[in-house]
Amino acid sequence: MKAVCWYGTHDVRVETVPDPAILNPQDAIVRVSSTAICGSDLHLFDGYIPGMEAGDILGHEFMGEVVEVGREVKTLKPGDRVVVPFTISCGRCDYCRRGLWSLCDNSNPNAWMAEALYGFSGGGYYGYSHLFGGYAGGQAEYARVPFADSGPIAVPDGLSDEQVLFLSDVFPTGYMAAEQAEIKPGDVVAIWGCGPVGQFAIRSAYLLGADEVIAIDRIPERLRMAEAGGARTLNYQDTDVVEALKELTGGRGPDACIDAVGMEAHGVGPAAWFDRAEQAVRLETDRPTALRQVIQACRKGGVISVPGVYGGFIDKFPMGAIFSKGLTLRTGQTHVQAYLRPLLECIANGDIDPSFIVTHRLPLEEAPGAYHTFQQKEDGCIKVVLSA
Amino acid sequence: MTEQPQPSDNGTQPSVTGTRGPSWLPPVVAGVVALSLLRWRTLRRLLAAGAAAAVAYRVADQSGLVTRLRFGRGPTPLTVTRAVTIARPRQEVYAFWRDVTNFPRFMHDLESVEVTGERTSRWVARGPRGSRRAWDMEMTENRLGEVIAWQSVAGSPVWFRGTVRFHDAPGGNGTEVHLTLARLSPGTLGLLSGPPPAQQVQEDLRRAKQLIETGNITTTEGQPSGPGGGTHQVERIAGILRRIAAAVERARDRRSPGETTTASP
Repeated sequence: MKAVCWYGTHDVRVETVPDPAILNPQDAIVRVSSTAICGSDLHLFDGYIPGMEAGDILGHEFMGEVVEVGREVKTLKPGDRVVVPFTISCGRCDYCRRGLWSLCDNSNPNAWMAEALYGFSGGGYYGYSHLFGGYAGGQAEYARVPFADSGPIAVPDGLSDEQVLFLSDVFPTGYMAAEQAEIKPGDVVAIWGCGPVGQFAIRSAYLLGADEVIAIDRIPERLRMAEAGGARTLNYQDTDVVEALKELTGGRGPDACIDAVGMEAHGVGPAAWFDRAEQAVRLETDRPTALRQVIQACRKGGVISVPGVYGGFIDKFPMGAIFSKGLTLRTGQTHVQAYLRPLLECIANGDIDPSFIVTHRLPLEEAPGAYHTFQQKEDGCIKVVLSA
Repeated sequence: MTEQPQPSDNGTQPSVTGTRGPSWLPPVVAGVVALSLLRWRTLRRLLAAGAAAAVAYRVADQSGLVTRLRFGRGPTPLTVTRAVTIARPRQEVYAFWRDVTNFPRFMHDLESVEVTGERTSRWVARGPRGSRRAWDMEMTENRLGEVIAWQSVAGSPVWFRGTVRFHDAPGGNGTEVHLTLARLSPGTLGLLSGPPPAQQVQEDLRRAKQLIETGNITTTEGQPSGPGGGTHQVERIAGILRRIAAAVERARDRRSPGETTTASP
């Protein structure tokens, strides 16, 4: 089969590889119909996530048709059309049973690596380095889906691939970001980053009753898409964001702030240069330029929700601001399985049509160019869907 | 801030703290000066070397080499204790451990366990270079749902003791399993091979948890990857160090009598 393989920083190739096989009796094999490139795939593309090996198959947002199931799989059968959550979860451990699916105890076969770095290991994810399980990803014609009874969700034929594909990651991730922000009616929510996760966070914040959403980015087409979603926007390149947010909130600051940027923040001014320099010499692995601003801007007693991915260490973290303002910091990989059913319902009854996010539709073979376009934010690229 | 009074050294050496600043200052100043004298490329190499050394230590630790070098010889039986919480009722977890034939499914290097009597069983473990080592174990303690202990019978080529204790996790959230392993190969020159590396015991417990909770051991073995790749650097280095560790053990074993080592077919 054809698969998108990682060979090094900025080196992604489409290669012919063996078809995946059932390795455990709880596995299923899915013939991929659509798969997307995630913003977090760019962290792999840019070489910031440790534990990648040449030849690793990328991709954690995918859907398709079940073609084979292991003998212990009970809820799926060949022919089912499914969306696969990026989080691999056993469904039996204490974390899965509490709904903390992305923290599964049993799904990372390389848990020792993550334990060495983080103290404990979360679950495994498709195509996201050996640190997080080393699973072959879904940017391929076929994918092996472990723990098939506690992941994939069957989707009705009446909904198109582009309407349901983003249940695999970015829609639940944006939704959980808004949910973790503990939004109450009347709240003003500020969201840094208007990539796909930020876009879904904007719409989710309104679904959850936010009074107003203020979105921050610098890319014109992303700001326009945020405005289409009902947000007021700020371009951080020509605005002092912290001051502007104070002004827009009557001097109070936003009630909840969402960092949908993560470890490769851009930013302007000395702080941004400083982070680039520190990351370049590995004094920090992640650039928290946006996160610092998020913390600075948040009102007293507010909530900070971080769906943006961080992998290692950051420098000059303003713990004093968090403490002095009594902030709550909520983070984590998305517990996708917990959101599949309710969000599929939102799509089915027309509350939201996630296909608004798609800007590029390409065949799988053109993935290397698509990674480049997405990384450079060329050609108005916000979300790439590859058809396998 | 108050200055710590310095204990005088019987008057032979007057304290210099008051006149020359805090004691940590000179080395820090020297360090900063030294760093500033280094060329950027050299500094980067130093940083890279430090990172490489940290990775090498980590890999050596994973492979068991560090454990062997630090604790490999000595007269005391060495033990490793690790714990895991399994989201199943205590009686079920106990029943899994009560059946010794389950052990080869999750224990590193253990090839087979055969029940030979009410309390006895014969264990076969893989050794270095395809060798095998067999010995008899006896259950020495068994309290329903609380504790099970096994020990190698007298005269075995391996002295081995394992104890598993079971407790209810707080709030009824499953069962805590506390595993203690002690292992020695008796030697004539006081050369002893120590217990399995702690990381290995941790991995054994992790696999046991996967088996009990999900019924299978989580794996990616056999999945596809792109051609020319799959260098598996970490595994390769760990493999080399594992072979060194095994060679160290073999050198000790050669001096130990009572070995039942058979070549692999």
